Amino acid sequence: MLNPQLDRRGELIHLLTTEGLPRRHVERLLEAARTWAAGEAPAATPQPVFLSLPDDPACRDAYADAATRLSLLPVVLDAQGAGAEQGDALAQTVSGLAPGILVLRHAASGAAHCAAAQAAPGLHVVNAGDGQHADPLPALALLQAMQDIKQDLTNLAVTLVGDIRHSPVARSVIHAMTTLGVPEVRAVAPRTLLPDSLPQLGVRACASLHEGLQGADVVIVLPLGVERISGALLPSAREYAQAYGVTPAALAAAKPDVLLLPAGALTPGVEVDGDVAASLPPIEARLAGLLQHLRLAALGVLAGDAP
Amino acid sequence: MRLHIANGRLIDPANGVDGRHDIYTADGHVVAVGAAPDGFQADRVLDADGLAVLPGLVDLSARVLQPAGAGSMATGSAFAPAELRAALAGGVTRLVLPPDADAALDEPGKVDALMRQADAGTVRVHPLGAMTVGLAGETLAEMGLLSQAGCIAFAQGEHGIADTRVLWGAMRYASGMDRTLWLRPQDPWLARGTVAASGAYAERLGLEGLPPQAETVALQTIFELQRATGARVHLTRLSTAAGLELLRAAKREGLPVTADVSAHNLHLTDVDIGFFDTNFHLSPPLRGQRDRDAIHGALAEGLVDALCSDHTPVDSQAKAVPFPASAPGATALELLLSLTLKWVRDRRCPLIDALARVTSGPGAVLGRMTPDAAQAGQLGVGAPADLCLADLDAEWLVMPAALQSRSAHTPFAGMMLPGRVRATVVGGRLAWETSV
Repeated sequence: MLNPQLDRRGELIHLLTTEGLPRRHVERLLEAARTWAAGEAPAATPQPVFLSLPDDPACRDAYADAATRLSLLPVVLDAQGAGAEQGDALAQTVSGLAPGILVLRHAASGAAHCAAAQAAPGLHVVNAGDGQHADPLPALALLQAMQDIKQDLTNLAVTLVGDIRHSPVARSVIHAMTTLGVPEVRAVAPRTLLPDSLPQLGVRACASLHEGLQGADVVIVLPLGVERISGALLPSAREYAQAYGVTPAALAAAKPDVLLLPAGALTPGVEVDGDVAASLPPIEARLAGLLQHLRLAALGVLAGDAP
Repeated sequence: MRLHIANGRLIDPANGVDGRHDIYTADGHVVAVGAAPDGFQADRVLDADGLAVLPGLVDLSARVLQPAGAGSMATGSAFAPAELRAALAGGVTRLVLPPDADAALDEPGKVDALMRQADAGTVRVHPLGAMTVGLAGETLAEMGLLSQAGCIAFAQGEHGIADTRVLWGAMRYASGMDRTLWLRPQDPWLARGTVAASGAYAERLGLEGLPPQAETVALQTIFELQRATGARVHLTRLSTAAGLELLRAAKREGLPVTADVSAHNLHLTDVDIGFFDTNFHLSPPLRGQRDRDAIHGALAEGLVDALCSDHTPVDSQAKAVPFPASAPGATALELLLSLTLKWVRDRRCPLIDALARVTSGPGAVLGRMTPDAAQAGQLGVGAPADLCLADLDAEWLVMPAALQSRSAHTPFAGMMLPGRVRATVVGGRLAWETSV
């Protein structure tokens, strides 16, 4: 089975998921992001960057900025286009696009693979989140923060706290950590928010927050979607916060120099308590910066002008 | 029309025949096997030298109607000629038409209108009536009148029945009328929003998974209500190892139950989905290796009565979308014999036993429901002259565009499969013939 994000020579043609993404491509993206963080990005061959990021103007603007820095031409696709709920529209829109880059976020898992399958040769797809499946760039930003701050990834114990089952970022960061050799990955969440297949992902499920945080070097806190706090998954945010909310007391079980990484916008009093939330803005800003450089790197690499 | 099928290798699992025998048909029935009856003058002699002569295949699940919205709405459901051709090209001479969510046969008039279109000399279609009006799962449909119109059993479609009280009522009612319910065991609540089998692979892809409990919970309910009502039930497209174990216990207990499995679930597993390949979006979903092995075992030992194609034409637009939004189903009528032979080859099953699962096995299931299907799937003297001539050694490449079906979607596209049907006879008339 050919990996759809690589061409026959193993070069990156789409960025769809970190699963099965060879180590050299992960490292190349991280390296390109670092290089361009330091200096001016080189101009790429002019080509359009189609942005289909419905309901997220901030992300759209960030991609547009990155494209402009590379002298690429950002083109915003309207909401009825590739991002619309209807799958038919996705296939139609994608097959009609000129060569260039398509940045796609979609509510359905597998949408980016579908777009890649429909894309004409020369159109590269960047997955900016497909349903619950994958969101590679924020995951790589988390990884880069770990690498920058902890230096060596190969002796870390990393704990994911929260809704792993429905999180594309969690899946992507787990695969990326596996690829780069993080030896111990744990997961803590109510059973309804944990995938059944954690062992196959190389992740150990912990029974309690205390067990999960014990001796951890890095703690990644995943945001809890409000849509989960209903029905058969969770009784209330209050109960979640009581058992799984990250507090200074809970963090005392981790290593003293534990690195706390938010994998999205967290609500004080739910995923983290107020004190922990108050300490997050610097790392949030750092992650936002890393993410922006990774967007630049992904566009640059796919435009064919990466270092 | 009188036919003499000469020099073929007759394989008739119902009668334990596998050898070189000629067959003679007249007036739509087999009149002799081996030696010609006195004074028999054939209108046509089919030379089957090098070919196997099989009973026409009996497919317990094949959707062969025009898609809703095609043609005139006023006329109701209509057969799709391409799908009927696909059946004949696959050697299928008799099939069961499951209820269509858009056009359920819940009115005797609808069944009449549909059956009036059935031509003599083409595949025989046994429609399933809707168990409840509009398949809504609320009000019982007129099972008695629907039976008179030609429905052989009553089904609730893909989604199962949420209200256990209605299911209980349907079972009591059907049991009192000596009718069979044809049920897809799937708990509708556990199945809500799911698009793949639960498990490591679905989790990896971020797809909502259907747990095996959706099948076992439904089976437990069905069996428990059968014990209370004595209703006869056919279970269609079982897909889990645990479900098959429940079936084994139910059969041992003596509950009046028969079952089939889909050819897709016999051959494929969830990892075949690969990178969201929508051709592998099927219902029931592809499950794990253990389930596939259990299906093989249950079919081989005869616990499961029949292998069905689960033929579901899906147009390209409905497949060229993200996996969760795509329509489940695959075209399979033309592949049924080949998939049976692939099973023989892959698992070293005895050929005659494997062929029984697509001929006499399903034939016997139908024979219990309607006298029209007496001796279906067999070729003894007096049986309907429904048969096919097949080259069992031929290998062919599955090219979707070359299939008869209007749908070009099958997970077996691009694969080499064994066995090719050369001619199909229905009711003693040559209904399909290809040059070699």
